[in-house]
Amino acid sequence: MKSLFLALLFSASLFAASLYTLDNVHSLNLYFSSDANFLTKEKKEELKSMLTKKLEKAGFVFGETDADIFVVKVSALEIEDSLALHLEVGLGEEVITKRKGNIETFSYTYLESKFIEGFDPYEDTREALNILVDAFINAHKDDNEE
Amino acid sequence: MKIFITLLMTFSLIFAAEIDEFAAEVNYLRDYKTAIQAAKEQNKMVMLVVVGDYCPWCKKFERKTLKSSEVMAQADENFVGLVIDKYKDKGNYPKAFFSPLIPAVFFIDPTSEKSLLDTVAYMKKDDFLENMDDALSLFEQKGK
Repeated sequence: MKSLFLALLFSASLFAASLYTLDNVHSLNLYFSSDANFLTKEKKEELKSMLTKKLEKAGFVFGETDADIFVVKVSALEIEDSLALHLEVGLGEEVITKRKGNIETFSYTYLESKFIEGFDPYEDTREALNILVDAFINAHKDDNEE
Repeated sequence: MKIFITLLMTFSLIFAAEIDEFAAEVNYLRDYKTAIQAAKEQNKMVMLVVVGDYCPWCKKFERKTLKSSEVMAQADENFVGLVIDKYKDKGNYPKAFFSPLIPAVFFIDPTSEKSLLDTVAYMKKDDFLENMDDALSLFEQKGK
């Protein structure tokens, strides 16, 4: 029983980790982009508000200058009678590359996505974005704990 | 002559592969035979880290775990650290350590050149420190 508990604990801690490094990410600017018809202006605002509140609750700060860009993208594609949804959550920032001349560029330093079928497009989007943002928060927590 | 050596060192640092830079930072060796010899002389285990330059989990393991001060101190005191690139260093280390998954760490007894303990995948600092302790206990038991 003890080994089962330890195995579960270990898998849970591994699950939280992401291959990206999110040390010292603190201030964010939300960039929300969507070409999906089912997302009206009001629905978009609703989602943006939900995500901002969730991230603020996790300790992130919004509205500071030169903050990292928290990118949320929702794309929808109709395939016969179904609606395929592609949801992306990423962190974009200016980085210095190792290329000749140490070129600076905008880069995604975190990116996770989900590809799902939307039966109830708005609710499914809301749920999937919640999962993706939770994964980001957990990965951030995992990288920043002492 | 001094200027020439300084220039040479600067250039070799500029053109050094990331794995060489990492090895220099954490004080690990890059040659298997040299590491085995050093471990025998110092009566320590070899801590062989297998990575790949294409592997983001390896980079994270290097950055977050192996470069942490606690792991570096433990490695420095009780192990001879060795880091190899799984593919680029192929042929320069025994096939037994050609791990299917990376990052992988083998704690090797230098006399038998067999692994007493190995770990695969990214590990957080505290978990990895526990593994280092386990490896040390196994090595001590073997010596008795």
